[in-house]
Amino acid sequence: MWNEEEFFKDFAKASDKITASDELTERLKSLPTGRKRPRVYYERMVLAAAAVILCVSLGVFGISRISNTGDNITDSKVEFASKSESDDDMQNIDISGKLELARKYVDNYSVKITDANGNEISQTTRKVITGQLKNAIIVSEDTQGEYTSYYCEGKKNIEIRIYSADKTNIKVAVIEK
Amino acid sequence: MDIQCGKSTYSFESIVDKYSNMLMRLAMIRMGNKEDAEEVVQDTYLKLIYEVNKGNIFNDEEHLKAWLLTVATNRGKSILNLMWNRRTQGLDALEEASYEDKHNEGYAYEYVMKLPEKYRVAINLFYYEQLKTDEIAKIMKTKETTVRSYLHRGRERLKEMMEADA
Repeated sequence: MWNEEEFFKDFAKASDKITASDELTERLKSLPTGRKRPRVYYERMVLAAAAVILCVSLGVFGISRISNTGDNITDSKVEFASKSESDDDMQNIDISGKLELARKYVDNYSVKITDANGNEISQTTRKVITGQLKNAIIVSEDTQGEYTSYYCEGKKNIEIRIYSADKTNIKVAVIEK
Repeated sequence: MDIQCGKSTYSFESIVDKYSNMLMRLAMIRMGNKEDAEEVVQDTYLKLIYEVNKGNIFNDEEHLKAWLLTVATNRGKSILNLMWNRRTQGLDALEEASYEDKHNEGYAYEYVMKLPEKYRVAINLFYYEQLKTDEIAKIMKTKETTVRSYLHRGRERLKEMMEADA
């Protein structure tokens, strides 16, 4: 008959007899244990220290790079300031374009050119102006001095001012109207 | 090697002396033969060494005991999975045992060995190690109700086997 209490008492008695053999116990006690421990910790510490040093180095390097970049920015500001000069050059190029335009208009007899009094200039005067524009130096309209104005009515209406103070270095200002 | 359990520290040798029999019983009931059981016990201590070397400490001695039982249970499962088709010595012996042999002292153990592996482990931990069902559930990584079910079904089957042999 099934008697639970008796059954498990017998089970416990049988289990009591199951023990680890002396041989197994000795083998377990001789398992390699603590010798590796300090080495593992030492290696870990070295690795952690190396990682920290690497991070700090990279950080310092990065910061120094950023600082240098800041210096470059300052330098580039200087360069930027000098670019304003080159902007003047661009203006000069633009003025040269105006000089070319003036030369084309003067050479083109279909473009009507009048003097300051509103009278159309003669072909002879056109040739004179053409000669003056060949060796002329373009200047801005703010240039002071005596000048003779001619008004051209082409696609664009322009005023050509020919400064006559210096006969050898003729200065010309071209003003779009 | 020193193993820290809360404020107390134990030598590895003292832990081996104290828990080897417990682990051997669990491993035997799970594996069914001495060779595999000894392998489970050894692997359990190797795992302990590994964890202690990693710097892990136990809250107290009960924590260490439960940890050892859990590792032994899981290791036994891994080995059983590897040798899924191997028949255990315990079952082989039971096939050849006579009715009279089964009713000698230790017959109950032989009957328990006929049960499925999960039932055997639960019965060992409950009736021999005197653990509570919630503690067994943690060790077996299952629900407490499942453990109770293992115990109930195990008892039922044991009763059936006993009555059939009577």
